[in-house]
Amino acid sequence: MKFRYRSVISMDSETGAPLLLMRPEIPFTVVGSRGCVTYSALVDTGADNVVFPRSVADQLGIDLSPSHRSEAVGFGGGSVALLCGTATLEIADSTSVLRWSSQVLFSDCQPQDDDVILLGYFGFLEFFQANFDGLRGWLELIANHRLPLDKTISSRN
Amino acid sequence: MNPSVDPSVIEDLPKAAPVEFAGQWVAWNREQTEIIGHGSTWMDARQMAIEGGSSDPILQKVPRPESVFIGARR
Repeated sequence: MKFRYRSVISMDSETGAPLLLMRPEIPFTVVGSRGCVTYSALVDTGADNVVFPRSVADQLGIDLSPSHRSEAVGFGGGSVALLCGTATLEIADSTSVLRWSSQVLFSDCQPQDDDVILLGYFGFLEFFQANFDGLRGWLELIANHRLPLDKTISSRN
Repeated sequence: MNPSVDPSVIEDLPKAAPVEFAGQWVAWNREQTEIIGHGSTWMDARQMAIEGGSSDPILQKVPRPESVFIGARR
């Protein structure tokens, strides 16, 4: 499956001039007992887990429990409390759909304070060979044999 | 705008959300060509899209131009 990077407006660190960046953000669907929602999610090879804001679990009816990995720590040492839940996850392109279930972490912080959506190793990157083409802005994902598919790869056409 | 990458590549990517939406959530149509909702939470942006007739938008948190994402939060 191939996905285009997303362009985002940033700012040149030295001059302050507007700058366009590309990020490997892909449409990523979370399915719960009360429905499903698709987000633009950042594929992050440096993240250990799939992480969503807690509001996603609350709105979609995903049961949460305390995580044994109770907080996320990033650059600079700041931390965010985490909760754990099992969600059905889905990616799709124009020709196929992949759906699986996995443990996901939910950041327990105030809405708007930390609305990060990350696709890290456990639950996502562990199941794919990922080829990042930073020059052309393409991410290719090739599922490996460990992907616990709920839904067989299917054609949308 | 001074693209950091080949302009021909940028032209082919999903559009960047305009700066007026920085810090907000936006709802894109499935083709990612048009913003059909926005708000301070993803629920607000999604609701606006649904009220406009699109039940399955793609929701994006628009980064603030002055911020740099380095994996750290807070």
